[in-house]
Amino acid sequence: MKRGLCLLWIAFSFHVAWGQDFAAKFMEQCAAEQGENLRCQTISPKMMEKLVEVMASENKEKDEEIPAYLLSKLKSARIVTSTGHGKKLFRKAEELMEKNKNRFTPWGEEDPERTNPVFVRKHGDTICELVMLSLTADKKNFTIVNFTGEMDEEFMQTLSAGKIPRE
Amino acid sequence: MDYKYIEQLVERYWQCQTSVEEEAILKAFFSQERVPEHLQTYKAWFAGEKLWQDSKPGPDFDTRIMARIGHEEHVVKARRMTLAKRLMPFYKAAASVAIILTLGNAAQNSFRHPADEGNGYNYESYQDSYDDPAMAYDQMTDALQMVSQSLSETQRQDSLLHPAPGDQPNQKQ
Repeated sequence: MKRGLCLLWIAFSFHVAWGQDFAAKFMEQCAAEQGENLRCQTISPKMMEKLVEVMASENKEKDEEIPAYLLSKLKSARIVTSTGHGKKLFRKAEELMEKNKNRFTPWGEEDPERTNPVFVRKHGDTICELVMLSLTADKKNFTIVNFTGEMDEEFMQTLSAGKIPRE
Repeated sequence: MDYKYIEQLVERYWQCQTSVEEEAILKAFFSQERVPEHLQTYKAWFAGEKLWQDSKPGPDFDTRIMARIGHEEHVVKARRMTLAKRLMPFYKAAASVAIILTLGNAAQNSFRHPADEGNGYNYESYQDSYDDPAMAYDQMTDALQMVSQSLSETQRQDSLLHPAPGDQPNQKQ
């Protein structure tokens, strides 16, 4: 029986660990100790499709706010936010990124002093995962933005150009 | 005198094929004073009293016999079966099914084309935080703005570190 349960546990953990994005891994590591200070908001591929449909059909004003092209390239999004222990969490995220350095490469020049680095995971020429870590100036609040999808050069240029108006 | 019958009886006696009556005949024969010479050797056996004693096995007969033939007494004890033990076959079956399904699922996904599957992400495990697309849209706006800002800063810093030839102020014309 013990052997059976052990195999079941291994199979379950394999199933859970398989196909996780960075934010999910980070939450798995840190959510238990941080409790309610750490929140993860998920936008699944289904919701993302809805957003694209809504933008394409009804809301013309919002269409100007975010180019529909950007959303069409995304499959999912996770936004992890913390309201405390920002510096500690930022370090943990950096450590996790270091552990996964075979998967992710920094976008642009690597700078250890940067408080909002962007990392990408490529599949061929396409970026399949984009992770941004962000620490506020007061080092209290920490954010991870994690996109998955098929992000091409044009996507990155559009975002880099800062064409999304601020509220 | 022909002792063929007696000889046959003796022969059958040693093969354990004689009846009680036939053994009585043998006893009567060998109890005589005059026994032929070639049968003298059996006299002591058949005429002896010990052979015909109505002996009964003692109380430990069974135990001794069983010990000789190497049989040990099997003690059957009643065992209490817990519910977990009773359900063990079901657990095993469930574990086997789960393992097969998981491995099958993993194998199926690994053989799929990455573009169809979203580059290996398990999107089935994604649970939406928002039911309202408008709220999700606002969240996406914020997220994209943050990334946009970060990318712009990165680009700006990189261009300062590695300025393009046309951007260098001291470049000779």
